[in-house]
Amino acid sequence: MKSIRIENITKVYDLARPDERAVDDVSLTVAEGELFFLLGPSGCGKTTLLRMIAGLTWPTAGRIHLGDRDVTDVSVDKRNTALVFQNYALWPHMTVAQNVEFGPKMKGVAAAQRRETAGRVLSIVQMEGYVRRKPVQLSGGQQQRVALARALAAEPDCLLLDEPLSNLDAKLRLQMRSELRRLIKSTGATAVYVTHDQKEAMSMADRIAVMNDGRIQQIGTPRDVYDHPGDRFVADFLGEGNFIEGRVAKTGATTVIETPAGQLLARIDDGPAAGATVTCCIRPERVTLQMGAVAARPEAAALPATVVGGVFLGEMAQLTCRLANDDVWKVTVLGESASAAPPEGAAVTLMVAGEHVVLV
Amino acid sequence: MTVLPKDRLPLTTSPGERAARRRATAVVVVMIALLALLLLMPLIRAVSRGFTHDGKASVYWFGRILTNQILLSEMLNSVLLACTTTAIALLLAVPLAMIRSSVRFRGQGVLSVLILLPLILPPFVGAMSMSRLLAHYGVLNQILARVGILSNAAAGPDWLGGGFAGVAALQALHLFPILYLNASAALANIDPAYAQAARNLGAGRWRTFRSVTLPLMRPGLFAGGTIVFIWALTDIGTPLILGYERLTAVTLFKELARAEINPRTYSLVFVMLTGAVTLYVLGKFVFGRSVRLDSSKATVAVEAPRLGVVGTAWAWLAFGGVIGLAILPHIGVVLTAISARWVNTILPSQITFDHLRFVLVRPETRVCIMNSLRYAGASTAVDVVIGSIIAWLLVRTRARGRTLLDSTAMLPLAVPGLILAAGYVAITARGSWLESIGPMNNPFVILVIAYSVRRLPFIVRGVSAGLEQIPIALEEASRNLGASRPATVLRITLPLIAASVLAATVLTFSFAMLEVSDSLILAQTESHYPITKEIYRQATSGNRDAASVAAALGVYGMVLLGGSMALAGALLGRRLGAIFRA
Repeated sequence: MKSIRIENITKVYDLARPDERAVDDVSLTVAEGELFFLLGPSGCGKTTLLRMIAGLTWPTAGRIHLGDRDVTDVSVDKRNTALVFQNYALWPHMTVAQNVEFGPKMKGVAAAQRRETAGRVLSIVQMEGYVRRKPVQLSGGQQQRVALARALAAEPDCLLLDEPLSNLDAKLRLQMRSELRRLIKSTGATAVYVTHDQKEAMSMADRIAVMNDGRIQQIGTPRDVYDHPGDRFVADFLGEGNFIEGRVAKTGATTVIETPAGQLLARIDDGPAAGATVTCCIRPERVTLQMGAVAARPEAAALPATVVGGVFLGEMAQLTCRLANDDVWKVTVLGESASAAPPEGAAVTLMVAGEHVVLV
Repeated sequence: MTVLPKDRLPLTTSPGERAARRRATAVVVVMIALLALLLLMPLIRAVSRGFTHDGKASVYWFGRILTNQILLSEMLNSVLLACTTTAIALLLAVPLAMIRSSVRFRGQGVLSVLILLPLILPPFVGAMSMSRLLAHYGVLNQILARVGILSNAAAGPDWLGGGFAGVAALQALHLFPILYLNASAALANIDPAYAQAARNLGAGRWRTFRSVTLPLMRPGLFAGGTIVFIWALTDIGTPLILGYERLTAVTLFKELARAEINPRTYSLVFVMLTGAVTLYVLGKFVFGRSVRLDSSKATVAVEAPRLGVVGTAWAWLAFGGVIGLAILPHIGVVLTAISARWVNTILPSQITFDHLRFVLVRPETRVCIMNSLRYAGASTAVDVVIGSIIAWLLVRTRARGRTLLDSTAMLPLAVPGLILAAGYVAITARGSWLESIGPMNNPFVILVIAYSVRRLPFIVRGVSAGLEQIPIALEEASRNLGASRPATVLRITLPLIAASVLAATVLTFSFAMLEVSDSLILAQTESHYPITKEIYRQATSGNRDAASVAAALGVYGMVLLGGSMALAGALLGRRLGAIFRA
């Protein structure tokens, strides 16, 4: 297994329009054995980037290194990556065993050893009983496992996965998340995983690169990118956010921000200078709802609001509340209080603790 | 944003891909040149002969056509015939396609294969028994007399009506499956939401069909309709066997068989060629251009009602009636081949298998069968190699000039066999350096070329359809796991398209065995006759035994084609129709 280093990769499909960049000046490093996610909406360039690592698409500028080797000019069959395709791309005319043995066969591995490798990886994915089957005789989940086994059998320098769970039904997809992570980690593979599903990324990744419009917006652990989104796009894409602009009134251990809806407190280490204009982001589940008028506390700001709508979802309720400046915020109420959520028109106070205010 | 290097053009493809693309482009150029040489050069030669008078370029011969009353009236006949044939074929095909797309019933799969049967049975073979079935003393009148509608068979009319109606009916019954396939494909591509929206807004069934469905089907119908029209316009087999000869195509056939050919004939070739190509272009690019559809996929589920016993019976009656009607002439041929005595009775009064045995031992017919096997075998081999390469270039490479190659390879659909044959006659005319491979000598080379060129679109379509079925990811996966380009073609692509290639090969071979226009024109010496020419000669000799010999040969031809079709159907399943689509 090897690390992956991508330096200033840019991809332009149509040279007549050099400003339309599928991937724009992306640099990142994936450590050995890391499960790294490329997360973003469709068309953000994540699959193009993955295909460039595999060598199926050619970068317009920039370099790609696998370990110490610069593979930018190496053709796809000499790169020793293994890609798990979105539709699995299992060859329909070959059995499961023939599919899995294909990679070793192309490397000139002897038949006996190929069979052993295939047996080993198929037992990892618990498909050892299906070697004689053709792909059409397998369910979607089983095909997915065989596709993974085929990639692992090639003993690649890095494993590439292109939305491997997107063709499974919702329930199986949830099951496969933890299973797939366990499988990949157990092989010690360096893996790059492309998805547009933020929950998949949050629950499986060691680190996530959030992409938008061909560029990387932020790289970090799932907790990093969720709790400290670097910009509004990342905050919005990874769950919901309430945004409000304000002016920094006072700096110190707690930064005081004056907004049209009232005063907010933020605990930020090196925040902006007094007088600066900032945008605050507060996650709906970080807001605490209290009935009636409540005073602010030293660690939490209090914003008066009116409930204007609500959806009861069983384990939680999602309310919309109108602030003093007519902004509408989303507030999530969890657990028992969901059933006892205030009715429409109720006057409430939104309590926002300082550590939950993020400046984006 | 990085600044892209300005001094050298940034690259979008890898050096390997670019080299592969250059190689592919070179092959495209070779293929286009080859097709130009084999297809365009003969045509240009033929046309230029029609515009040469006294060694100079001139419209003299062209003018002679326009002032010749007989030729003009033949042209009018030909156009009327083609119009009638196309109209009948439309009336047969569209309702069946509508039934097929709107309801489900038992046996639908079987019927959708059987409906291709008329397409593969050569109409000129069926034509041999038409007079037996429909003339004054024919089987139909015998039946009518038996059930008491006629006092006796002789009192019945001659149903062939001087030939025109018979030719049109036979051609339409042969060609309607082409329209049926195109109409079905067009219907399948129309989102049912369009029709549902019309019904929702208050339009009745008929109104919806007229105002929404039919306009959306138009491109498919036009594409198929032009092919049927061109075919009917230039068919010589059916009119020759039925003896209806006041047609431009028949006149051309007779003129081209002469040792010295009047330049006026080539001028006539030009008229036919221009008409056919113009129609093809109009059908494909002007009227046939598809309405811009928002979606070609179904966005709403449509529940095709499942027919009950009565409905199923009606559907079978509709399909079965048309199919039965279309193969009736061929049943007549089979009966002719096995009849020892068939005079003034509904069925033969005595059965014999002597004719079927006789054609296999008679030296003259054995020679013809061997000739056909050689011509068809060689041309099929040429087609498979060239057609597969072209299909590969079109579907799987990014070579330059692919559009031009595609149109050139499909051109034989627009150029009728009769016209192409005229081209080969022109380049091998007496005195030219190619005379030794001309029709009067050993026509092996030009027949193989003619057969190959005519059937090339089949192979290209068949193999392309196979290639398009393979997701590109299957090949990428192979490359990604370390297989080189050739290894990927060998291990992944070829095994996956083998069925398509084989099916297209089998059909190409069978069609070559029973090719009519080129065979009748390009083989003029007996020892080089292919089967079809021998059938034509025997069938038109007027001798009753000869008719049985012709019928026996026809039976073997039908068995060959039916068997090939069954094999191709087994190999391709539902995709079989793609080969015949316009």
